[in-house]
Amino acid sequence: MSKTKLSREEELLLQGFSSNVSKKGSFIFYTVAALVSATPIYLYYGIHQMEPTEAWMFWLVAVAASTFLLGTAYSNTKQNLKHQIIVKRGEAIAREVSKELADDKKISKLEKDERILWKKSEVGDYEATAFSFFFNNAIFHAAFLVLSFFILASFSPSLNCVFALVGASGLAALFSTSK
Amino acid sequence: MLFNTVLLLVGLTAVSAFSCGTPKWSHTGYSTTDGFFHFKTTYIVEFSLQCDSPIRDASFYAVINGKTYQVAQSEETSKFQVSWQLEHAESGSQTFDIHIYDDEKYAAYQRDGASTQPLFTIQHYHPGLSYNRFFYAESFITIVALAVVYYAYTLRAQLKA
Repeated sequence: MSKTKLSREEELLLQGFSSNVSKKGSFIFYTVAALVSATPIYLYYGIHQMEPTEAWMFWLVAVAASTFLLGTAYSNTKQNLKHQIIVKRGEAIAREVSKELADDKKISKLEKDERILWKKSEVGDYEATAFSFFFNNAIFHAAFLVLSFFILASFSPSLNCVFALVGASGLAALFSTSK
Repeated sequence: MLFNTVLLLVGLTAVSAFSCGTPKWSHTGYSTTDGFFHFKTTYIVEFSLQCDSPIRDASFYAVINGKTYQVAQSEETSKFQVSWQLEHAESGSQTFDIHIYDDEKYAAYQRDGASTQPLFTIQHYHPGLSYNRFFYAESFITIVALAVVYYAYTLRAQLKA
């Protein structure tokens, strides 16, 4: 007899151990991406002396595009790395959880294994997310500095803003797709 | 006799002081931005002006940061020009307010000081100076950022190994 519908428990298991990004995760990624993309705008306001009343459209377009691309980069990097982190950290996590539960006689072996798996998934999720932020922000900021201060230095501030932000976040998104 | 002559001269001066009614103006400005090759920073603001009455032999004055400069007029283009120089230390990024006075208003300014309303005010934005430095901050920060990217890639390679 084949099961066509998954039970609630199986669904929860899939959710927990899946590399897919949840809605909460996506919200966090795109919020952080918006903050990171919006920060360089101060450069164009303070140094390039762009008037906000005239430049807000360029800023909005640049930040919106950059937010989307950077959020995608965060999501891709996290998905690619979660399983590898679990494999790398798995042994140490299993040892730690086993040590914690060693004195608890009531817990069954099945439940102990399940807890180890959940802990691995939790740690993998957290570390993959943190590393994704670090990795993609490093690429974004380095690419932005090179584009804005060197390659596009002689362009007008509006074009500099749009191409530097979109270019930098696009590069981060591109590198995030590599396995 | 002497008193009458002086009275006549004062009267003539008062009559000949130019007053510009309903001024219409447009301006352009330029300032040097190099702090290495030039000894001082030079500012030039040029403006054209139309008044109700024709401007003939009129004098205009520019007051910038409390200092008064005579406005020159080009014979060929009839445009007016005011120029001034400042030390580099005083020439950071800033906007200059250039208050233009005609004869009558300038006389009032000399009498009453800064409370006198100018004929109009021109704003000239000076972006600051660039220097031929040995060390540029943006280059240093870019190198640091690229080093961080290299470190991030190394970490990722370790995780994938």
